[in-house]
Amino acid sequence: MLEKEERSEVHRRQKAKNWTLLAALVAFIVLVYFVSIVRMGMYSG
Amino acid sequence: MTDTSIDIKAETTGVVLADGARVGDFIALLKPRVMSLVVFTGLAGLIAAPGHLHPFLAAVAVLCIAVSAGAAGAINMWYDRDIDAIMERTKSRPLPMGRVSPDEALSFGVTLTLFSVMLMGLAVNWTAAVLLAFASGFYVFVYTMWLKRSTPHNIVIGGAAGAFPPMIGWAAVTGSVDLQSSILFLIIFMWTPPHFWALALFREGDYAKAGVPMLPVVAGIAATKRQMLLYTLVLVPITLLPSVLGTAGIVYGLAATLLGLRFLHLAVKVLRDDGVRYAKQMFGFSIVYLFALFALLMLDRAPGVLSNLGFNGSMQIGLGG
Repeated sequence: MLEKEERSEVHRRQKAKNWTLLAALVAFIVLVYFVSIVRMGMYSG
Repeated sequence: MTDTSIDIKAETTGVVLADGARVGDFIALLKPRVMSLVVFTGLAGLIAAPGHLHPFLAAVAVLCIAVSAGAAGAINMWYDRDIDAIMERTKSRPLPMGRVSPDEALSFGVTLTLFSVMLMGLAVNWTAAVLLAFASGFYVFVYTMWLKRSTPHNIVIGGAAGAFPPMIGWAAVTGSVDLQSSILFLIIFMWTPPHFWALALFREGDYAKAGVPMLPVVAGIAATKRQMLLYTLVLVPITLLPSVLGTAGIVYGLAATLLGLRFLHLAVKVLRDDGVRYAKQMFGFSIVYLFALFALLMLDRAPGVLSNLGFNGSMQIGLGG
């Protein structure tokens, strides 16, 4: 019983880490997108 | 992650390993408290620098400095996990507690370092990126792997790594390294030894137990206190140079003088003190001191924003028009 609880706790933590990693990757993509827009704006102005 | 890695009780310690790590454990690897000082001084360099940087790119530059510093901290924790487990101050970190595996900590640190340096180069400029990479490399290879365990002057030379952020912030705006940004570097470089030795004075037993040759452990308490005073004596005039060189105005200069005198006063008290009471006080004040200096630098950046607000008339008279 205890082992099952531990296992579900580990899965819960793993899931939280996976979501955080996804959020970080999406944030990075958005960041690179806006950096590109800003830098293109600098050269076109 | 494999199913086998989910089966995770450490045989010897009984603590949860690797996959049991919470997101918070990875944040702890980034040494958030140290990061806050790094971000603050980096931002100060960015604001004090002459020129203009798009606010979004400035935010990206600060983010890169923060992430890179945190990543270097994670690699430091990976390398120092053996001594961290011995010292009171560090034994509850994620690695000695077995909550994060060494491999995870190392790959986390290296990945973030690469991302932050590349992003700095692509988004801001390559001078700032090279400085960022150099600062990380210096902290990891020179301080952590070489000096920390081999010489009592570890913190003197290794302190250079923590002195880079304002120079990086400055380079993000100007694209160069010059005398004014070197002075900002020098302020943190000279501040680091008295700051860390004050800590080492009341954590001496910890460092001795872990075999880290901090100055109080190797040279003794009296010699450390003398060195602290010497470094403080050199530091205080250096903190006035931004005013002299025109990086900041007269208000910064006046405040830096007062703060410096207080720091010097504490260094003298530490020297005269038989115990470590004033060392604790000096350690606490050293953090306030550095924060205040760089906050003033931002507020009174050239041509003296604060000075021109309230002191314009009187200062012009005082300085002979």
